[in-house]
Amino acid sequence: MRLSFTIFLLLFSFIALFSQSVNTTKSISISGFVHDAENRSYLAASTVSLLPVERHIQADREGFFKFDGVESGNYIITVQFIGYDQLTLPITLTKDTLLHLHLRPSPLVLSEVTVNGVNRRKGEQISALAVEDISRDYLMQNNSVNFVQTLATIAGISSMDIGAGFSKPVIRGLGFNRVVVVDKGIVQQNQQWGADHGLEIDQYDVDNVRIHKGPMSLFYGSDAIGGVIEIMPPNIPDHDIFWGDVTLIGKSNNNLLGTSVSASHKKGNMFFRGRATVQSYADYRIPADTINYLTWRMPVYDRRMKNTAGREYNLSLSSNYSNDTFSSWLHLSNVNTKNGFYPGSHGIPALNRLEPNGSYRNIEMPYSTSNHLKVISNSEWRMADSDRINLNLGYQNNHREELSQFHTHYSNQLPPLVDPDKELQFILNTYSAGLRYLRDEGEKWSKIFGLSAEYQHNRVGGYSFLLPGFDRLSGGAYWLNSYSLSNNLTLTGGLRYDTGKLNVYGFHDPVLEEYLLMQGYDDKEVDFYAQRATDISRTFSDLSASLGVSYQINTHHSLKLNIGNSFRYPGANELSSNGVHHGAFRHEMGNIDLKSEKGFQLDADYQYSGNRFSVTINPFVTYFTNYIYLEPSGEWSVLPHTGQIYRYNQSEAFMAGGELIVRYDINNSWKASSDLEYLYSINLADNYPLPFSPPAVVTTDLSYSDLGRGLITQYTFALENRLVMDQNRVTRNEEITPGASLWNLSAQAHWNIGGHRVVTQFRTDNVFNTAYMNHLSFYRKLNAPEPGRNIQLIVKLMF
Amino acid sequence: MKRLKLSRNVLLLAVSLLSTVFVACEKVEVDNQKPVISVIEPSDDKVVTPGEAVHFKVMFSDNVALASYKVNIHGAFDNHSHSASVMSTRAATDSIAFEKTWLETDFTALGDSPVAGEKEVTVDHQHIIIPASISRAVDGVTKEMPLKEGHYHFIVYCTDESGQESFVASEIFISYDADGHTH
Repeated sequence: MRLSFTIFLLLFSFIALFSQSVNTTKSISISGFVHDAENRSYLAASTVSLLPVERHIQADREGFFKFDGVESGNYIITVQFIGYDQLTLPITLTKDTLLHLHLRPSPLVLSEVTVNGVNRRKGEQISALAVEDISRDYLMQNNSVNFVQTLATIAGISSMDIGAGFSKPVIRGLGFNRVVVVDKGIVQQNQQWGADHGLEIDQYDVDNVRIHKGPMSLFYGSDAIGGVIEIMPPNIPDHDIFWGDVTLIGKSNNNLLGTSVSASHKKGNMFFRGRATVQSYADYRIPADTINYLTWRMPVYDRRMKNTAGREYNLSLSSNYSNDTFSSWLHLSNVNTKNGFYPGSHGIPALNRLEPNGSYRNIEMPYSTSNHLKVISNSEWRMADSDRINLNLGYQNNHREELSQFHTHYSNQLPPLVDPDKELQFILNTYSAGLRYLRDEGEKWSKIFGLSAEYQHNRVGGYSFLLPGFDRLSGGAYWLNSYSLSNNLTLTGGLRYDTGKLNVYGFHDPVLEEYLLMQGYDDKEVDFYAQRATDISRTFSDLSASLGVSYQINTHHSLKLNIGNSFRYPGANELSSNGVHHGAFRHEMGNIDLKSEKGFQLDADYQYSGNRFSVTINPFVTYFTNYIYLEPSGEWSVLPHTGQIYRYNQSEAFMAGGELIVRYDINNSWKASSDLEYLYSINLADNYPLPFSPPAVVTTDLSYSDLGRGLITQYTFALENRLVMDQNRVTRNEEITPGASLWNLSAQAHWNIGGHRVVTQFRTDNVFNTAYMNHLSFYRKLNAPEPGRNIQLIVKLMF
Repeated sequence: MKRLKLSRNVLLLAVSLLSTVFVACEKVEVDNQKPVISVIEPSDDKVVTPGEAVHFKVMFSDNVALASYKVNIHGAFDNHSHSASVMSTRAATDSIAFEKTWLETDFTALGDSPVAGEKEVTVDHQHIIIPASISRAVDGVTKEMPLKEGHYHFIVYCTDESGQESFVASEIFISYDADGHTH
């Protein structure tokens, strides 16, 4: 049953299996050729993997591969090649085997997203949550403005955009600190609580992504409430090889020019890889001549959002040493960005600051810079066939600054002598360690025992104040189980205990104190406002648990159910900050008594897969015992540029919704798919929806693909409609956002030029230049439409 | 046949789970309408002489019930000067930018009726007084300094009972010369 289920997943047409008998020794070999199913040509440098032993090979120029020294038993072979459907073949090896594997070109944009519970390593099948594996090819075909917006094409994922440059991810309406991004085993820590902060990841440096929707605190501790975006390490080929690519990127909307270059080398036990990416973009275009902001109507000269230009420089280096019992990765990466802000996002702009200044590409104040440095080490010891120990160590340095020409609402404040325009600075150092012992993998009852620890050290600077400095030490211990009741029924479950200690360093603002005294307020009132952050020392403890069942009903139907809880430590801003949040124009006040936010979630994943027709349904229900939110207090703040005081509070909340994905292959060339994402949320204390709830979206794709002639080996055309519903369910003082219907076109071609493979990706997003707003965007409060039509061309040359 | 039945059961289970979700989403009416502010006086660009009161005549309305209002006046010089200028005026020796926030309680203390609980009310008073000068300690000596003349933002905030908030911004022109200014 399991085998036939796997077979549906592949769309390969034909397998010829030759076998030859040799002396039956314990060690055998498996070899073969990888072909194009349609024109029989060999597919050089395709990636062949043998699971569950985790061996990877790049096929040679003739498409040939060979694994030696394989023990007899049951295996799964997967073959990946850009532009082709992944082939997954379960196989029982008893003797030397030669295979001819035929891959079909992947015509459908969405076809690379395989929701797949069978060919995953047993040890990672430990949760019964919906998982989506996203390949490099999908990321390229759907290449959007940035990594997060590319992922937002997947049902259940949305992006909070800061202009056309940066975004942060949202899974099922949960963003900021309620989503975890894990890069090679280490939780990425930056200033994700901030509204104008974007995720610092080089989208060209991502090979494989796994998205978990649902509670994942059991695996990653605090913050993994909405889900986890997991960036996987690259696969290493088995044999010595050198390869690389040069990618050229051009986008019309913001005149983006970029290039990304990588080189990989495998020799003996060593593997090296490097990638460098450079991108520069100008102010983005919107389909509007004016925007209405804070009751002012502001001109948009040349229909460009003034000062939204930016650039990024990224570098990453990875090395690996592997032998039979030990494997060690060292990853070093640095992402450096500079991103301009629309002048009005930090206050009402002087109109002359909106006028064109001769260059759309220059970045004036206000702007932000961020540098994210990561050093990650992954080590693995194989104790026995079914036992492993993993050790992940990480160091991250996130340095973020916001520069804005010195301005103050307090007439007594003088610009600082050093860095007079540095408004805000955050330097966050994070040290992480994770130890896992995986026992009895692939057996009836497999277990994982784990320990994790993290230390954060945050320091702030600048002439404004937003977030206090803090130190946080946290750690957890967990025990995960997977128990196979039968071949098609698996129970999963686990327990985890976490504890964290947070020290927040208070701040009394002498400038504000003097200003308020000058205004004639009494000492008590002055103190209330001038204490911008209170000293806090808190300890949090949380218990997480999860129980799930995976049931492969038959070839066509599978079902997963999971119930679990997740938690999040309150942030320093939520506990301690007090003052006007620039950009939000709200007086926000921390609440020292907040407890860890806790959610209980029920998730289901049902899949039907027929010959041409497939359906996935992922409903979920979440109940928060104490969701943390900003509540309007009804008390006025006396501070300028702000109305009432908003206090952090927590209350019961309820969320429900899910994703429905339908795919239909009309024939081998024409494919259609449609998916719906829907979310309902309610704060049970006041009956208002939760803030930043994404609207319902229906995405429909139609694609045609075929083999080419001459230089073009294959091509795909796709038409996509994204129907975004109105968001009328908003919390207090949040604007409703009207829906929109957006059309996108794309064309991808694979070329064979002098024996070199070249992939071109041509896309037109927002074909009709429709003016629409993203309910979650940073510039939503400016009533500024999202970027207009964008035409982009990406050329990837492989060597 | 057995297989078909099984899959039908699973489908039923999935559908019932989904419908649980949707049934749970029964509609609860909440107030999503912000209060409305219409500023009658001061009219836009109204010239105000230091030492005089601003005539404040504003209509507040809400679909359910109003809660409170506040007024803020601060310099709008940034909007009209070159971007290289700095708003901080401590260095200025000749005049001081005026800035002040009045809460509704400042006006009710002077006998005005509160707006709380009303659906529509027009507030009309002369309690917002622009001082003739600002006393400022310079090098330990308290001096009376004139106000900086020019455009000021005049901002009125209003909340309703459910915490919805709105505000409107207009401009007044503060000048010692009662004839005002020419643009």
